[in-house]
Amino acid sequence: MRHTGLKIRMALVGAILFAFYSVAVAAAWFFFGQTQTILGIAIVGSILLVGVQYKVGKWAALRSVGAEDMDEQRYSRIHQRVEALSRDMGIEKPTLKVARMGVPNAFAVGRKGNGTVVVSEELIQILDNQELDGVLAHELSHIANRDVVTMVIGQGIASVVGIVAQYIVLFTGDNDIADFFLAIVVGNLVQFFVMLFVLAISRYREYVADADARQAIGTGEPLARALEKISQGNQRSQESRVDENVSALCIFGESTSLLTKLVSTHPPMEKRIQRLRS
Amino acid sequence: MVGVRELLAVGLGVLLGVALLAKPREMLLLSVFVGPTQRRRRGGEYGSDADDPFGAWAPWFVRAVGLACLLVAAYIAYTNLV
Repeated sequence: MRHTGLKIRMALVGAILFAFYSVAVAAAWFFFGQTQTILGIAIVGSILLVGVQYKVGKWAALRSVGAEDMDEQRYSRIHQRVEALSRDMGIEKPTLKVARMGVPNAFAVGRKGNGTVVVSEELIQILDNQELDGVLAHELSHIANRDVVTMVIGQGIASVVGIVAQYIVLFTGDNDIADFFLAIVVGNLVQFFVMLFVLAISRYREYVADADARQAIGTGEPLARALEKISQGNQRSQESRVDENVSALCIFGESTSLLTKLVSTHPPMEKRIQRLRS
Repeated sequence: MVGVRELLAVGLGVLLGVALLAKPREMLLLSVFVGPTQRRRRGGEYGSDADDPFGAWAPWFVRAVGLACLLVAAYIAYTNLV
């Protein structure tokens, strides 16, 4: 994996997240007794939290979309392509599942060596073979780059920092309603703040997965076309919704504000397409 | 004399309450409960996030929490600051 610029930004944001975590653990140790037991509880507790989030997250992801094993006979081409792409990327072939999600979508869960890629039937229907290869290569890159685990760790750090901040405020106060309320507010604000960095990492990982997918299939054009096709379909459906229900969109219409961009898991579609074609 | 904690509770409570009322969707998406991995599969099309990962009721729930925040902040302000 090259992408030096992205790697530097990832390392920077990762270091900030690690700093948040270190400060939270150090604060827990300082405020709750300064013993090794507290330090142990804080570290083991965080590892357990991330472990549980990872396991439950994977199970819930597959269950929520009703993913079923992808039939090797019916989807033989997809199985063959994933096997070849996995070999090229140096990972074990992940489990392939298909789901009826109502929208064209695909996602990866799990880790390198035990990953699962879920593809929606709608996506298989609207994309041609090359475009589907682009999407599959992108999802395999997420597994190869351990993106799912990275995101779970990021969310875990946000949770731990928020919880520690909340308990520090709670246990250092007078235990009245103002302290109780302040603890909840501080915990949430701190967690929101840390999540901004986690989401920044998520957007960087998308660019990296796009670049790796382009490298794996030799060109970025099929994935760019796939994104364009899905994006145009999405726009058309939004336009028809405008005709049907203009007032609703006036209140909740699509916003491209800085805050909306900051809370997105994906970079803007047009930027991704532009990079894939550059 | 009013304590720093009471002032912070009112100030930060109002800040959080206003944020939840004004930008419920964005605040929901910042929560660890609606993390990146969930949002990729909950109703969003490939390459984008779901508009409402937990359905249309979720922003209204967030607004209700925001309103509750403002009410509690107002109560603390009334009992401690007035």
